[in-house]
Amino acid sequence: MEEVKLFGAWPSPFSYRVIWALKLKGIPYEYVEEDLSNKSALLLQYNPVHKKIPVLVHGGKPIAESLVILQYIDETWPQNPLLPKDAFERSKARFWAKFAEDKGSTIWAIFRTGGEEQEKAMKESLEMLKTIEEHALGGKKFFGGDTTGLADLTFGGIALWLGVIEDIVGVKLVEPHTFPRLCAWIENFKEIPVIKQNLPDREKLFVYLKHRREILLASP
Amino acid sequence: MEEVKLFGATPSPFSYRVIWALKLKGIPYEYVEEDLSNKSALLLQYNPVHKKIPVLVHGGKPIAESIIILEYIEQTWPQNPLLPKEAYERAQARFWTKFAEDKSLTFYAFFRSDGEEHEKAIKDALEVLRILEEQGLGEKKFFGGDTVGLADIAWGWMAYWLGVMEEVVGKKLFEAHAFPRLHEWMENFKKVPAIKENLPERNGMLAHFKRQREILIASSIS
Repeated sequence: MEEVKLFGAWPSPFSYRVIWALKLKGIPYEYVEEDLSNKSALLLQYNPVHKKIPVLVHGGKPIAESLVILQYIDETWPQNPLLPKDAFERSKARFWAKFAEDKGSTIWAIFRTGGEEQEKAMKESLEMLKTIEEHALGGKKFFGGDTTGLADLTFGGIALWLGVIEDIVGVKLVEPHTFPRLCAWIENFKEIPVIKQNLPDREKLFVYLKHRREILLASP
Repeated sequence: MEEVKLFGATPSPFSYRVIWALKLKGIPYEYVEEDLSNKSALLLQYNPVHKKIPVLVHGGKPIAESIIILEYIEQTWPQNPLLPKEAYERAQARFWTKFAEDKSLTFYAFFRSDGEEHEKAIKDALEVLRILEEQGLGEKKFFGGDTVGLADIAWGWMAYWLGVMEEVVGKKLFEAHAFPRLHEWMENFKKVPAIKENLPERNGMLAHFKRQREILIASSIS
């Protein structure tokens, strides 16, 4: 099998999406930690358009954008599939993965802002979470059904990063009585061995993000 | 074959993405024109999350979000494929398709704003065009190679809608001499019969976008 390399950054949930996919499928890979304040020449060469992580390099060929990477992984290594076979079911999985991708930024907006802007971000985030609670899971254990899939990995940021952001900012967005399905999903997701064994250290993440927020709020 | 229905709205480029895919693959379908100022109960039922067009309904089952619809169409009707067979090539096609999705807001900003926001939008849009010109197409005729593919359809709006937007805004963003590859791509794209025969009427589009811009500018002043 050709060499697989992942360029990532430990605080990034996007990075973890790819780690989880590789681990769930048992694909051996070499991990390269990028310092986002000092990006390597190799990263810039592999992702000239966005200059971002994650980037997967397979046999020397780079793929960027986490959801594009996930679909590439699923097509190249079909064991433990991330997408269902049926076209309609597949479209629903993609729909919710896209939803997570498009709306996930509202939670980061809570983290990055204060005052009125933060109020707006909180409102939007709650709306997004309500939509997931009411429409996305149905009675299923995971977005992917009985096992995790593309949408679960894309929502994975909610499993840890959301809680850390809530602690730093001093708000509680997701509670068991208001979001019972989502809370159950978070617990189930974090219980999966691959996920459980592949999460950043919570304390370390808290310290890192707290510091980042201070810098962000201090800059004009 | 089970019934195929497309809920769309002229002159939405998102709507046309799906029309082009259906036409390129020769899939018969019924078209339902939605009045976006008065959305049908059926649309709201088929797309409760976003309440938007386009929505494809196949055998009574609804699929929303234009690119997701395209992937569904591709998997369900494999003739005249929109994606290459090889995984890495597919990843490249999806990368440029996502780029189109992510950057549509930039061009929308160009269309709906004025003043400082507008100036920033112009700068951002030119950067996107530069990236497409230098890194997107390479030496290929289409993003899909010799034939139109997913990324071509995702960027297809640029071949026809951009000119109308520029006329309404009163500013030229795209100059053929500055972006020769893109210019050639636009010309080739519009020559493809399934595309050529399925473009909204220009005068109607112009009037529609003029009205839209007036409303958007007015609401941003308040």
